[in-house]
Amino acid sequence: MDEQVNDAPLDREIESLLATEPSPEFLARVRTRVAGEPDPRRWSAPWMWAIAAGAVTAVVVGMIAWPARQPVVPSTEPTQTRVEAVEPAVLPVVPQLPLVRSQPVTPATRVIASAPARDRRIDIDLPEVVIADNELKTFAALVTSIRQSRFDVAVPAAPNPDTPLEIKELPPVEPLEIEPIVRVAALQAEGERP
Amino acid sequence: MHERADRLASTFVTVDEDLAREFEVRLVESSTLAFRVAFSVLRQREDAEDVAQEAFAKAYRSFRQLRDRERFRAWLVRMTFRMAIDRQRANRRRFVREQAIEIARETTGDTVVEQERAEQLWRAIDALPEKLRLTIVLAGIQGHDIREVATLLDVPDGTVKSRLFLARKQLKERLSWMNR
Repeated sequence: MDEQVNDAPLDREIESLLATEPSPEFLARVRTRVAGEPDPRRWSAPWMWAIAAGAVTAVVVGMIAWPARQPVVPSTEPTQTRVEAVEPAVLPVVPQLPLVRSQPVTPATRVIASAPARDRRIDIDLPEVVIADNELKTFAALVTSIRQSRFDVAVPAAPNPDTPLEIKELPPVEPLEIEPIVRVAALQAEGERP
Repeated sequence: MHERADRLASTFVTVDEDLAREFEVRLVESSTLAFRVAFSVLRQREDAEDVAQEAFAKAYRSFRQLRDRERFRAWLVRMTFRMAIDRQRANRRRFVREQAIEIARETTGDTVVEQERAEQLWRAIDALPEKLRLTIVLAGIQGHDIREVATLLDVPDGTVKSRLFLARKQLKERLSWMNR
């Protein structure tokens, strides 16, 4: 109660400070200012909101459906990769190896790289690549053999652990004759060289 | 087709006229409130009128969402106060505020003691935290009671009471310190 009594003069002071009236032209100025504002009903019609929502939806769907563009690297010519299944292959038997796997390999995939159908030439001033003739011939022979299927580049599948491996018999080993060590030691003791 | 378009157009005109009429009512009943809120911060009539005018323009733009009377006044008070604070900060940078106080002192017919006391009170109000400041200003405008202030600030009555208590306490402390 005392607080309220003490507060009353302060409240009256504040009220008197704030008892300032705006100028008589104030309302007219506000009306003029508001008249220059855009109509508040502009975005009020439901069909306008529907159009806006439809436009936003279309943009979002378009962004999702549009395929992402891959970066184009002009200096590298793209290659077409074709993956095809190949028949089971048998690895050639190498006589020098002690272990030979002769069981058929499970079907594997062969990756064939080929040049694109259209020959797209890009004029870029690059330095000439010099390849030695023998390397060129070797590479050409390799490519030719691959094309003629003389050389199988198929990657062998992992061996089946359940299938027993065929182990070729080792060639007979002749026994070596080695002199006994005792005799050499006796000669060294007498000062003679063995 | 034409009939439907005419009907639609007439609906818009009716809505438009209703809106304009409602806004005019709000403008008349809230113009002094907005001006005084701005004046409590800026203490310069021209600046306060500019800020209140701008707040009304913003309110008009969003008037569809502010057709409710209480909502409109609460929004207007908060917007005006915020804009006035922004203007005050800009004014401080230009050192206009001190000049305005000098001009006001010369033009009013109050005694020197009253002017000094008013200036002290304004300074004490300025020093209050914003929440307490707005609460005590709204309570001092047009004799608003606690419920009206609570509605304008969209806070419970108890919050207004505690804010008023704190504001008065801080004001008295500052005023007594100034008068030493």
